Amino acid sequence: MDKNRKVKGLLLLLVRVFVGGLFIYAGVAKIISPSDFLNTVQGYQLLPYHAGAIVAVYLPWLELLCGGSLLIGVLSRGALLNLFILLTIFAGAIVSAWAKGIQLVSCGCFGVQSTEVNYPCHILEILLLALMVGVLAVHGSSKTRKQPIK
Amino acid sequence: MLLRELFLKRVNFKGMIHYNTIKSAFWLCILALVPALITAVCHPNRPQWRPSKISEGMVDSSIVLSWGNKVLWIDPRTLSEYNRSHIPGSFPLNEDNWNDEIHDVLNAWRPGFRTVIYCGGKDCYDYYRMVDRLRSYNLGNIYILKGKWTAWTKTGK
Repeated sequence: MDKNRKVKGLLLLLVRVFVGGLFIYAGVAKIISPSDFLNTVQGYQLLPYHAGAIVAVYLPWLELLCGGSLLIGVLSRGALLNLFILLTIFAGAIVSAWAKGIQLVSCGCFGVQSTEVNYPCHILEILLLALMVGVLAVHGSSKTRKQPIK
Repeated sequence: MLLRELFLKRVNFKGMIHYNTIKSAFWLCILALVPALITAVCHPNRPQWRPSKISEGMVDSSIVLSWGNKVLWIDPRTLSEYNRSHIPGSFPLNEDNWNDEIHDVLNAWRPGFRTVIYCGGKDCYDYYRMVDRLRSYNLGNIYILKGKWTAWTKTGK
């Protein structure tokens, strides 16, 4: 039973490091060139120019901070909530682009890459990542979880 | 067994998201504002904040994207280059085929459209001479796309 708990703890730590590291990488890749990321955001044809520009400068930092706080364990439950919301928005944006028939050259997930977007694959990746975030939210911080305010 | 326990554990969603979670999520959002503001002001590759005030001249692909479908693309490269690849909906127009193609360009133009010339290759037509020539046809505001036109394809078009 104790061994089982140890393996579970190790597994959760690995998921935590993976998800945190992934979002740190995603944030840094976009922070390097916000104007390139803006091009990608505009490619989705969802937001007006100025809203897209705000997203292009703000979202990478939010990803970086959430990934960092998940990794170091500070404000981690808030980070998980933010990441879950972000992943839901990303999935919505990708589904919307797919439905509109837009052939994106890059999804912009990790900065600008020149590989053609495979929509079903991206949606699956996002769902898997959301599942990981969900698992962490349920199990990862259970020791520090406080009682909800009534 | 472990995975089953991890994924099928009964979750009390009502108790999961409580005040402290929302508070820490909010603080992270506020914290992210600080570097984002610095990025918006100081970053060498920051987005342009006033696309509507851009006068005729060089224009970023992100700004052209914000104009939606009201863009008339002109490809001044040779016809063989155009046939190889081009921005969808663009018109091949250069000094050699000017008289043959200008009518198609004028027919496609509508009030409110912006005319954007793209190129980027070594043997490109002289942009500014072309802009001057197009201006005589009252084709609205005329812009030149910054960088090579292949950059446009990276923006998702």
